[in-house]
Amino acid sequence: MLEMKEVYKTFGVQKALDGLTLRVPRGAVYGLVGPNGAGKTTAIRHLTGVYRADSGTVTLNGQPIDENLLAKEKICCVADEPFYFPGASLLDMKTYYSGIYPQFDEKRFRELQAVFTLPQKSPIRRFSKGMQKQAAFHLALSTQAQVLILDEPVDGLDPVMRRQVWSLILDDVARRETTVLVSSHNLRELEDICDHVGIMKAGKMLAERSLSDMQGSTVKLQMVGDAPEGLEILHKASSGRLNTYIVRGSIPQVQAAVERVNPAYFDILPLSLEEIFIYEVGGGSHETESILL
Amino acid sequence: MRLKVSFCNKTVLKTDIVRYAPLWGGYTLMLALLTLMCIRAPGESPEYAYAEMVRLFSARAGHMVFINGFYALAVVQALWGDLLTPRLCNSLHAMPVTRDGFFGAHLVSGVLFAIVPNVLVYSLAALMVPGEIAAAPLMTLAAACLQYLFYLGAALVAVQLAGNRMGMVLAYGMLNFFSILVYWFCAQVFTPLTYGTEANVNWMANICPTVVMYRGSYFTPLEHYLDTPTASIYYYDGMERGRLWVPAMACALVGVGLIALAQFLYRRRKLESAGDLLAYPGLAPVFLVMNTLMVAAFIHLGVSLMDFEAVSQYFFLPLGLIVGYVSGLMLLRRTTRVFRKRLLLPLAGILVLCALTVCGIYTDVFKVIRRVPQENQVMSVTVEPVNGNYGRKPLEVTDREKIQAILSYHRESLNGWQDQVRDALLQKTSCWKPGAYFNVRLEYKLENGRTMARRYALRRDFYSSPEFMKVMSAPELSLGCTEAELREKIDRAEYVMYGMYAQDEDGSYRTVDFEDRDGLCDAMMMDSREGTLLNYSFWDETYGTSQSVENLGDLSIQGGREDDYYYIWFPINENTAHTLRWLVTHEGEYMDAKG
Repeated sequence: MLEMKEVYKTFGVQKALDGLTLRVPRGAVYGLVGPNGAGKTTAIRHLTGVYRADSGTVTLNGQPIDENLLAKEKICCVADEPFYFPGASLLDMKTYYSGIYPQFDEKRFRELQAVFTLPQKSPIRRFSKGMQKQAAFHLALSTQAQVLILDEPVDGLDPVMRRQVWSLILDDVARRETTVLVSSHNLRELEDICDHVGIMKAGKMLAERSLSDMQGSTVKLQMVGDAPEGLEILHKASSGRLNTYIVRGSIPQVQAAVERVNPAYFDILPLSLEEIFIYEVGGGSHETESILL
Repeated sequence: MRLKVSFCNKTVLKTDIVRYAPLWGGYTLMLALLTLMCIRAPGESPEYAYAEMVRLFSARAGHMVFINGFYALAVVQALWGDLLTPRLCNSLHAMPVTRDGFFGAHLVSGVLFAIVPNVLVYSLAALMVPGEIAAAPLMTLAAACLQYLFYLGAALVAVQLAGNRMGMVLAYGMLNFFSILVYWFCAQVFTPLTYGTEANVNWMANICPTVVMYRGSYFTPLEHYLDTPTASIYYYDGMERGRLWVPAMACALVGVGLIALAQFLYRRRKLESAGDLLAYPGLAPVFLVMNTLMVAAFIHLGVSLMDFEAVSQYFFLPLGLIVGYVSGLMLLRRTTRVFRKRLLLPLAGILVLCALTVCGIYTDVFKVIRRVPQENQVMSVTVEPVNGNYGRKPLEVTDREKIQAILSYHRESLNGWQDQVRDALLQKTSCWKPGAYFNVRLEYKLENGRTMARRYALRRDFYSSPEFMKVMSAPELSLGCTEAELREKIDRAEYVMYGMYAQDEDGSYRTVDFEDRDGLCDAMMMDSREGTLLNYSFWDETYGTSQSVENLGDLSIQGGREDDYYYIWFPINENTAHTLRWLVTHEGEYMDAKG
């Protein structure tokens, strides 16, 4: 399990992490979301052992990550803007990665050449942004790391390659029980691949649970007329006679309550991750931060 | 899960060597070319060529200080560049390499990048040069390695203190040359105000490692000539070890200590500092003060190089301090918006402190400049002329009457001293400027066991003190020897020559009649006792201190050979009556003498 417990970090006077606690179970695909400046990248840099926490612990399987070679060997990170040595080709970088990551799999690297059809001997710096991203995935997936940490990972990739990359990652998860932590603003995409979600704001974790739990505990109710009494309504919006409610409870619970008042029309929908995110971080200017708490 | 220890990551090491091949390759090539320039063909005089090559290698060992200073900076900027660029820093440190692993690999690379090229080039040079001087390139190699160790350590500490490349260069410069800057600042700003006192700040310059490793030599050729009736034959006798080895070894040891310090700092470093000027925000005030002084000193230097009048430099001092502080603040905060009252408050403090120091020295708040010891406090005074064409042999005076005369001269020298300082700064007069003009240095030995030293330029009223003139006419001060030594030198002189300008317009000299050698010495000593055996410096108006006395001629006494060789030169004028009379008596054809 990849874990951050009560982690505090300040840069000067600015609090970047304010008692952040995060748990990524083994084999999970964990989506880390949050508004700009929430501290996602700072959290990732703690998880990869780059930054040191002012206080709190950052561990992999119970062992500290900072300066712990055995823990770090199990983690591979694909950054938003991947780094390559100036003038280095993909083969040069492969040599470096294979020296650094003990489980680096040459066979896997060769297999992936069929997917990422990149020039092997040209300097990576001359590649397009998308090709550089592909090179990063090519290398990262060859490391056979137990934990993949991805920061805005598919930004710059074309739709076909995006699908290909996610398919490769999920294949790794299925085959090797790889743990994946993804930080992205593309919530629609995350919704498709994540099984766990953590929502951060101002250096804190607002909500963290499995996506199904998150989507199952709050629903969107659209109906003509007023909502039945007894439902915990978190938010209401009206459009003509049609009212839209954000209601705490599972779909069967809410359905049973609504059917009792027999409205002219009603529909109960699960919330999308994007909607959860918006309500969770107060993006709709409503007091909805407590929806899931 | 146990902790895995790594002190040198092999992959990082290999990558360093491959990635920076152009850097160490270029260094090797440059060294090879420079070394080739030290090798000479023996030609017709092989021994002379040997000495010449030894001299060239010795000079190269000195030049390696500067080459290694720049090269260590370049090597460390290249190898530890990841600490100075945020993206690079984050990417590399996210990989499974410990900081010790990175440090060890980079350190080994850094050492190899210099040691291998040096060993290669100088070992080849040792094979190429004749066996007699094969040690010269090897000693150059040893010197270069010692120097490089220091600079590598300094650059490593600089890179750990800094957060970006500019900060690293500044930190490296400050670590290496801050003492020179402080020396220069003190020497230019404060010393001119310390009238008469010996505010010796040279030690500051002497602790600069570059100066320590450069000033002097690592080895020199031993040589001698054998004169034959037909020619002078040159012999090369091998090499002599210079005095720089101990300082270089001490610097290398400091370098090793700095490397250890750098590793300690790297372990504690917060990697989020990459891109900032300083890696340790707590050092910001130190940097700010150092930058303020550094820029002020540079502007002061620039002004003096542009040949502004001296006083103008003092007007530029606050400007330099302001520019230094503000630029430092801008670098630290990475913005030009630093003109806020709260941020500029320390600058006001620095300016006030500097103004108080300058005014305090000028007005002699602690009465150091104006201090004259009481006669009963003085055991003896050592008098020594400085910067004149004098023999420079100090004279210890214990005679109470003479001590009184010296104290009287001391007190008179302090009359209107502030005017003298101000006039000198305004360049109205050249009467006072430390070290530039003919001064008399006085070192008092006091009853309480302490010493007190002062030096003053001679004033015009000096001639109103016959007792002090007698002190300055002592043969030690005017001729550079005691009376007994003078007598002995005249006695065994090969030549005692003289020329009288009025009669020997063609510049020819005449040899003195040797029948009465004691007589010449007696005559000179009588002049000495009457206070008229004064050296040329006392009469020369260019020193701005004296009344004009026309020189009538000069007298030279020379004898001995090689190490024993001596030469005494003395001006003859109408005041040196006894000496002049002796010359008149022995030749009888010169102009009338006074008295």
